[in-house]
Amino acid sequence: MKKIAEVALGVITGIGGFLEVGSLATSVQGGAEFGFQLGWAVLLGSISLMVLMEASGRLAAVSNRTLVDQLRERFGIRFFLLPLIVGFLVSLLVLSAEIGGVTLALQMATGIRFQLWALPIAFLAWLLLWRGTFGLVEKGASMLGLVSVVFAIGAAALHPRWTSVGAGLLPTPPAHDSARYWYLAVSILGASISPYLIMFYSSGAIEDGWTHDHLGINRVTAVLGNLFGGGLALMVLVVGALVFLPRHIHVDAYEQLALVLTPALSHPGFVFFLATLGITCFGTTLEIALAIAYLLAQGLGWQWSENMRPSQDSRFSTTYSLVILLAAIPILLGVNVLGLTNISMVLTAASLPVTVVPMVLLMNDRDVMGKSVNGVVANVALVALAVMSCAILLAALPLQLLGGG
Amino acid sequence: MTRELRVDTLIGRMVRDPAGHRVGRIRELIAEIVGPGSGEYVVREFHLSTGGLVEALGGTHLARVLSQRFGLRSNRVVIGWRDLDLSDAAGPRLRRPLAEVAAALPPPGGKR
Amino acid sequence: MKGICLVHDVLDVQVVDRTRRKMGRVDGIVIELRDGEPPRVAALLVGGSVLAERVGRWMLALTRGVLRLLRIEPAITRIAFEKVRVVGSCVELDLDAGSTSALRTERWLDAHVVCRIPGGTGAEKK
Repeated sequence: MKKIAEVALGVITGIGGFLEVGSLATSVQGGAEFGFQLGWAVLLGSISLMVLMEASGRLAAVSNRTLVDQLRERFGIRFFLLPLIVGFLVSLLVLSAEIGGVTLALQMATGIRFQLWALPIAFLAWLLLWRGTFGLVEKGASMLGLVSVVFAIGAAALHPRWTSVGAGLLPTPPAHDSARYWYLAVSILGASISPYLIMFYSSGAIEDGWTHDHLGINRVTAVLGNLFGGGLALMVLVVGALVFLPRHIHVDAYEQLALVLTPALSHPGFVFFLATLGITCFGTTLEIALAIAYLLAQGLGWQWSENMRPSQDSRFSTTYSLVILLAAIPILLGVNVLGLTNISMVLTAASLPVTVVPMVLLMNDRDVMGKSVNGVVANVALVALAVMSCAILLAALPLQLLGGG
Repeated sequence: MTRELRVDTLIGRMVRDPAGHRVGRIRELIAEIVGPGSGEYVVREFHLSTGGLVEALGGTHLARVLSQRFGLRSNRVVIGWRDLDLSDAAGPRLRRPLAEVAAALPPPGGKR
Repeated sequence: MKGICLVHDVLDVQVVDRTRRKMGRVDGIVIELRDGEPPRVAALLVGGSVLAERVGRWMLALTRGVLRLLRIEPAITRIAFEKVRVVGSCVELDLDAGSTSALRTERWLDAHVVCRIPGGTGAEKK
């Protein structure tokens, strides 16, 4: 009974925590410009995340060490500098975008300029991390994030041709503007497959004391949570396609995004969108701040746990505090949040190889995984992911220049 | 006379034989306890990697994982502590020709 | 503990004290060369500048420069290898972290920053 409750909680956490500023922006833009055609990118992103989260959860449960621990221990400091620096910088950018998402939601709700919300939101996020536990951060934020289910309701209310939506789940070449199409595909992938998520999940497994007994829960949570979460992201794409494409609206500001649920749900649609944007971005803000602190603390061997009092792990708690403040600065200065979101999603996608490629080795290392090494299926999936991530890295810069828009 | 050396800076150094030919890079040091309860460890062996594409591309870890899972032979050479001259840490040398000192590494899964 | 692989089992591994408090990672290992005897494993090194040196001379110079700017003395914690009790998923030491310089930064932050903020101290949150 307790196991079922744990699984259910894990799946709900996965659903409520899936959407954030990146997936909202990229899915709506994808739908607005290419209809249902980019559905496959959302599906591929969800499946990839399933594979990576299951692997990192299994790694933590079996070896009692996080992914970052293993990256430092198995590969040494010279290699580890790469995921450390890349992970830190890219995650910081995404963190800025998330804070931006919250502040924009508040601007649209209150009329007060978003820059003025930067420090109050940063302070609130910091306070929750300072006083809260890991459970509160992970589950509390995700529970509230279930408001994003409104996108499924909105999509259904618009009566899409579900066969057409289904057809979009298979990749087809674009009829126009290939560079933009692939740019958005890569952005959607970057929005789903975020290294900070993998690090957060793996650290969470240790925070929650996972062991071999949790391998089943890990698998179910990773698969179902991301399946339903990905389904929600697909609904965002569907709504974007049905609302913006027929009106030939090119989305280049969050103020336009905010109206995406209005045709389906009238004024409540606008309110629910703001709630979804604000809550999901705030939850992700907490996650990324912790993920960056986990990255540094685990990589350098500091004491760490969100369940400890800040004075028990001063370097860890100081890190997430500083990082939140640093990330709030671009928003305070009034940077274009949608532009920041798009760039950070592409960079996230491009940074995947430094996490995924070493994972292929780790998941096949018997010294690390014991009997739980990857089987053939897991290896095929992970290697395919590694190859895809390298292809994205090579294509990222050209796509940003040609399709950045 | 004693002298201290950092293991972490020794790793990856190329070892040459008395004639100056390359033998391999230092990848591992095996240490053993001197006596029960003493807490003192001494280095018994140095493991050298004799190059190869796999090590060049993916380093020690890749070579070890491939050797573990697919039984691919990793090109390793075991040198006893007596046979390695570390008086010049930047250029370690064998004291005798390779054929006289080297032993093949035990198969994967043997020593941990 | 019987035979151990210094690179695979010790280097870069998490170091914990006798209360299992994390105090860094094994950033360096020192061996003592002796005439006619096998080299003795002398000590473990924990510290940012040790790590920087492993990356390269440029990194060491950069680290030293930054520390000098902040007027911080680089702290390298040297722990005699005889203090190592267990080598496993982490390196367990038979000492208290507080008796070394490994937690210098942690303690400074605790005293000057964290403890001054409400909610920073007290029992574990959970």
